[in-house]
This record gives sequence, C-alpha cells and structure tokens, in this order.
Amino acid sequence: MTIPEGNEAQVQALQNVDRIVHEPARLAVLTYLSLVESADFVFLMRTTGLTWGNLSSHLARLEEVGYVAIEKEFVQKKPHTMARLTQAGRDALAKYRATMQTALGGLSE
Amino acid sequence: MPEMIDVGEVRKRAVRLLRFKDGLWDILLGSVFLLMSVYPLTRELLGPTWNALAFGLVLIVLLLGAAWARVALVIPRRGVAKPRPSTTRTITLVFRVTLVLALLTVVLWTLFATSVLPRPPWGKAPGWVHTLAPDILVATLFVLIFSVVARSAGVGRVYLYGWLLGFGTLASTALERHAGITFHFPLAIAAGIIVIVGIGVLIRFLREFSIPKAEV
Repeated sequence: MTIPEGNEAQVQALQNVDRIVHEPARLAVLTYLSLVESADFVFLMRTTGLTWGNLSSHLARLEEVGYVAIEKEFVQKKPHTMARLTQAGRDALAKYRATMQTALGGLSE
Repeated sequence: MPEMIDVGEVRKRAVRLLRFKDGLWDILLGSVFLLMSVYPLTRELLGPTWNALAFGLVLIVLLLGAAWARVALVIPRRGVAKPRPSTTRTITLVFRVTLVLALLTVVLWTLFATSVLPRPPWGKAPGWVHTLAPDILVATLFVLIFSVVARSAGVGRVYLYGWLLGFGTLASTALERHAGITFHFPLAIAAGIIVIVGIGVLIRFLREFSIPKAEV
C-alpha cells in the first residue's frame, strides 16, 4: 500500500497508537470511567452496552496493564465490584486522544 | 455499541442514566408541585399551622419513598457511579449560592415587611405589574432553568416541564387574583402530567433493565 504524499506523519502517529485503548469497547469503558470517580460493574454494563462476559474480560485486560483499579467490597452481604481509572489510565486516554487528533485532524482527503 | 465516541454525548448519557432514566426525579418534582397546588385549599380546611405540618410530613414521606425506591428498585438495575471530587465541589457551590440567595430574600422580605427598609414604590407601576409581575418573572425563571437542565443533560421532556410549571404557576395566580379561585388547578394539571410521565418512565426503566444475576 502506498501512503499519499504529506500523510506520513499521520500514519506514523497511527502506528504508535496505544492498542489497549484503541479497542472500541475498552475506549468506551475508559471514557465513562474518566467522567466519574468510580463506577460499578452494572453501571458500566448499562452505559457501554457490553455484555457481562465482554465487560469482565475488558476490565481484566485494563487492570492487567494498570489503567483501571478494581476494588471488591461487600454491600449488604453481596460482593460488589467498583472500577476506577488510575492515573496511568487517565494519562493513556489523554495521550490516545491527542494522538488521534494529530493523526486524523491533519489527514488529507 | 457505537464505534464513534463523542465525549460530550458520553457525559450526557451518563448524566441521563444517573438522574433521569428512572423517572423518580420526575415523580418527586411533580408530587412537590402537586402538593403546592393544593396548599391554599388545604390551608382553608386545616388552618395554617396544621397545613404546614401536614405539608412537611407528606414531603418527608415522599423523600423517604423516593430514597427507598432508589435503593430497592433503581440501584440494583442501574448500578452505582460516584461523582468526581470536582463535580461534588460544583454541586456544593451551587447549593451554597442558592442558600445564600434564599437567605438574602428572606432577610430583604423581613426588612420590607417590618418597614425597616422603605417599601418599593409598587403603587406607581401599572396594575398588572404589581399583581402579576413577580409571577411572570417566576414563570420565565422556570422556563429558563428547566431549559438549561434539558439542554445540558439532553433530556427533551424537561423542556416541557419548564413550560408546564411556568404557565401553571402564572395561570394559577392569575385565576386566584382575578377570579378568586384558590385551588391552583392549572398547576395541579401541570404537576399531574409530570407525575404521570415520571411513572411511565419508571415503568419503562423497570421493563428495560432487569436485575443482573451474577456478581456485581
């Protein structure tokens, strides 16, 4: 594939994009978490529209890379999972946003 | 799930889910105005003291009922999200400004009523100004405040609430002043519509969202 002239910098930026954040479902989870202090599993399911299993696996992946912290607590004797965006996650999301703006904002038609 | 993520829309969606999706806010709002609409009527029956006590008691029951419904019906279906400290600070600031303005109004009203301050020259204004001007102002404020809330949260029905409550208040006062009708039925109709809409929204919420079976 040939790169149109003048778009090399944008394509380079896209190649360096954080693929953990780039995945649409994880991006949605990170975006919602960036708006609140913390949110539980059900809230994230309702807002992102993900299924239980999908959300669970994406949260596990985000926790693994340190973008999200998962805290388990008991509420009325029932296990309750709260997810919170870490500083690393907040930085990764900001960097991803800047990268995408650079890459797509300057891309010629 | 949409592939394109608009942060503004995401924020509105979160606010809608947290504040407006379950209809409890609508039911509570409509009920409070419904109470206010029958207040002059019940005052004639109960007298000012018992009426105020009954009003306070019903208000407490309504607030407790809404709190119970939130815990028992809404949170297990909708989930929990804790606001960021910056959001909490903004809410606290808005609350404090409202409190200061309310206190200032009470102080000014007391100073005018006790003639410590000279009364404003209402007598020089045309008749309709000193009978309906404050209510036109209140109606306009209703429309403006509810329109701001509707726009910022992206909830269309809140625009309607502003107009309903604005016109309801104005029509009720006009009927009381010019026709002697103490029952504020235009406001009662407006509040009743809000309660009915709220019940509809709550039923839709309960149907749409079941309680998840697995660990939360």
